[in-house]
Amino acid sequence: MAVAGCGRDDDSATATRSAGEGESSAATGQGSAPAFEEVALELGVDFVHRTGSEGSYPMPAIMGGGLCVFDADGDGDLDLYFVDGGDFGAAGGDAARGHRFVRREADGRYADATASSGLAGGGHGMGCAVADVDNDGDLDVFVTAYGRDTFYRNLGSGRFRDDTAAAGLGDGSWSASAAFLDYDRDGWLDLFVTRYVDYDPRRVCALEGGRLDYCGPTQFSGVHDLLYRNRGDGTFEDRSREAGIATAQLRGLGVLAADFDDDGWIDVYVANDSDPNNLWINQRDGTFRDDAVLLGAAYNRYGVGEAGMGIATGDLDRDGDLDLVVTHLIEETNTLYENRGALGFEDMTAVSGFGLPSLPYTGFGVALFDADLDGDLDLAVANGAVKLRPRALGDRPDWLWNDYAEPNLFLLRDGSGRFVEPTSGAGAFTRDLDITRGLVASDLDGDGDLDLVASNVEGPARIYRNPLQEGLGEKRRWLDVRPMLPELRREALGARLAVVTSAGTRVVHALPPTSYLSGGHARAHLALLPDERVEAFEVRWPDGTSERFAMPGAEGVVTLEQGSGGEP
Amino acid sequence: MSRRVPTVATALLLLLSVAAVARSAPPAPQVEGVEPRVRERLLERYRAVERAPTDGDSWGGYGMALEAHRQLDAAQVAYQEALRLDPKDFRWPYHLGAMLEYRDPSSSARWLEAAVTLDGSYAPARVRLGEVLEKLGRSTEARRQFEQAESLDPRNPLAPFGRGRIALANDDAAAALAHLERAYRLDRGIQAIVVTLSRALYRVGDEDRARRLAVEARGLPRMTHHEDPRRATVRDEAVDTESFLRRARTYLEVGQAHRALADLSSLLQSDPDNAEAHLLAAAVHDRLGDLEQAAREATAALALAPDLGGARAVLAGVLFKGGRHAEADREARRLLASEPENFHMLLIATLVAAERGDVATMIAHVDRAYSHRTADPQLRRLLRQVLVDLAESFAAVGDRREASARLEQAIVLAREDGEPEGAITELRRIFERDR
Repeated sequence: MAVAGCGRDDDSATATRSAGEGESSAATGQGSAPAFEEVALELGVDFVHRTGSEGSYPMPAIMGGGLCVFDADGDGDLDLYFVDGGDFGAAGGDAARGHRFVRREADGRYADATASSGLAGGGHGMGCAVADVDNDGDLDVFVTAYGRDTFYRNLGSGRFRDDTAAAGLGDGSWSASAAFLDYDRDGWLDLFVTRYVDYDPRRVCALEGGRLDYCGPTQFSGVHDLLYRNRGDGTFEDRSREAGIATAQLRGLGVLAADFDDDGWIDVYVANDSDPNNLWINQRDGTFRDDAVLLGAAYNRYGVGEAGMGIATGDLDRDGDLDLVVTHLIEETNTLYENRGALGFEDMTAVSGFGLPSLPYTGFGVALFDADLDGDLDLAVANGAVKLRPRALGDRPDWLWNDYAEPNLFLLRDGSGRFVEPTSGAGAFTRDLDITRGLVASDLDGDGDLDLVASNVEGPARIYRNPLQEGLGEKRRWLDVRPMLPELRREALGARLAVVTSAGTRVVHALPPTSYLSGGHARAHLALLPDERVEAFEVRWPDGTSERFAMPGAEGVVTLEQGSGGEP
Repeated sequence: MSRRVPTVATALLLLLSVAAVARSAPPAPQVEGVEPRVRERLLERYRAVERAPTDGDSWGGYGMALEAHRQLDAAQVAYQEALRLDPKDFRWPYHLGAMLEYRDPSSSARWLEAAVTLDGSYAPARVRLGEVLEKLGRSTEARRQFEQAESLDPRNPLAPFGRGRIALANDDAAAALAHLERAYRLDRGIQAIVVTLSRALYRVGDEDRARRLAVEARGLPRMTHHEDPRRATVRDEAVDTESFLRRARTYLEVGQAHRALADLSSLLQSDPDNAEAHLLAAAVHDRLGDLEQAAREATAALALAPDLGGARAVLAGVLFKGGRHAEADREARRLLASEPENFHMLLIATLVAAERGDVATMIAHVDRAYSHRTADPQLRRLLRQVLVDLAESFAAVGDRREASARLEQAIVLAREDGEPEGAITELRRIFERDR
């Protein structure tokens, strides 16, 4: 089934136009989105990402700064971790500042707990990912970097120890995003890390005309990504070559591990910058094969490899499989790949209303989430240029990075399933002019609607509170489904959940929000329509087994434990 | 105004609207912080407009110089004024439409429609208009443009390519395949066509050929636009260093080495110390088979930038090809000291060691080359050939263990490259024989 309203053939495309006169006009001026409010300082978060690169143009400085949203100390609420860029101006390069960990307190405010947590770190950080790699019931942290990556083992209660060397995870090249997955179904979470380029800091780049600027990726060779297998004894082994990953030496940025071909095994999708993307299909024998070209997810509709940055996935057309969105450079659209099962993916950007609003911006982090709790997935994109914009948008002329600042993008789904730019934006989220990179949608305050947390290059961390529920007399109902593996004491990353309700069945996957340089819990969030009533959950667990949980009337936070359900 | 209004009327309205707004002074170019060559070019074109403010060519030429140096807002003004002054000149709406293709597809479509109204016989313009319409989701109109382009110029591969794309998106894989095969026959060197054909083949069940084409596509240039001489005039206006280098790389990629050389010569005349230009010139001479000149250029690049690894790689390569194996080995080893995973250098070192009969060094290098194998299909084929040759050599001297090991590696490479079963079977046959 196609995205509603997104015609596959000429006739339906024409029909769509007759209603909305093509993408250009249909994509603006409709609907209303939650007016997100920026509350970071109000909540005590004053982290400012720095790179120390004033007056110079080190490429890693403009690419980084991701974030993770996770319950680090097991107290049931969501803490925040922001990755800093280090100091490119200092001899030796390491930062005096380091990353920032803030713990959510009982009153909903955040307190700086960087030092006590052991997560201060240093170096030129890029992004982070979290997962319980030792199956001890708490979430460990992996930080990617331009330079040595760092692995922090959670010792419990939110205290971490740098275990990089012991774990064997200290690759020293330029890594970007990371995703945990159990690709060999042995119960231990493995790690996929994208690597960007073989960067040479001596290289100086200029725009047409000769003005100095950051180099682009094609100035450097790509490097193969890394697949670390978790041995289950606290250490990892690099299996990139054995798994077939190392054959692709491309410029990797975003990564997302999920079951794209619906065979019960976790695959990996990598967004490459100026290179075709990879869709590593799990061969179920410890190896992967890149089928992105054949399946239509490597290049856009025009056969062009775009500047892939961030990735999000979700079942946009409610046909039970995972569609993909990938963010791109200015003057390329962001791209929507619709999963058509055995036929592979089809680029539906042009007819879905998804593409044109993104053309003026460079997109990085991306979230597909139901912002207005109306039952379909909306889109938030973190924007910020990597080269001087043709026309500056920034409103801070004294700020050295003013000409790179861009507004973020928010698109709602209209009644026909098309994406539309809401008439009055999405509050501060689309008003702020920053160079945004990391983006995670997460219910920070537990009110059922999803808030947004964003990280910026050379700028403050942002927390965008979603005021939707607060403004409603009758709150909208929602589900936050948390599939758990009690024997392994951790979340069931990649579990496929069929939510059976009075209105039909919806499929969601429990996936961390890897987005771009970002991470968080593997949970699934969805809204319930006014008359919709849950009947059951059918779960396909990462080990391939299935269970049915009859839970009539369930809503809110729902925890499903493997082994406690019934026959599917 | 609905887009259902006939194209001619839309175009006329557009031209009339441009005619209504006269402009007296040209927008000044941005010359702060730009290279002297660029400044000179922009000011030269700007002054031409000042000298002849009612001459469409002057305005259009200024627009082209501005566009070539990414001063697009000013370029748009200049093109529009050129069109006002010379409303029958195809070039100005065409450049406007092409310039806005990725920036503002809706406006781009309108300008391109105006251009094809003025001259409907230029196939690349119809292809471009088709692509923009496709971006706007107007696939029926896009298909029509591709059909007309194909009837105007049956040798233009991008017209059947566009038709194939639309058919594929409509789940008509059989029709898509017919169009895409036609495009592929016209030009096998366009990556976009090859990957789309690969998808179509997969959808009709020919997975073997689909995989082979997916591998084949890896080594092809990304170029998406076929020859468009009328737009090349804008590209040739660019005189900044990066544009010279980019143009030269593009020409080199698409096999137009002489044109690449012309650009590099222009650049080196004004900037003789540009190591990157010398490096590219070395690659061009290498492509043209002038190994001596290639070696000279690579050496010049290294004299200017001793750490320019690419130059040393080219130097080692051309020395090897020229039979100067000892010198090639020396350069390869120097580069391997700083880049131990440099696949190309490992191959050269392997071949030189093989020639010397230095088996231990040869095995060490080939193993490293294998474990750091590149994604470049040409180099991978070369490695596979080296492995097969080595296996045969080992088999000939009775070392079956080494022979088997090398053949196993060759088989792994073949599998990774999606080689057809036939080729793998052949390798397996040799393998079994040698075992």
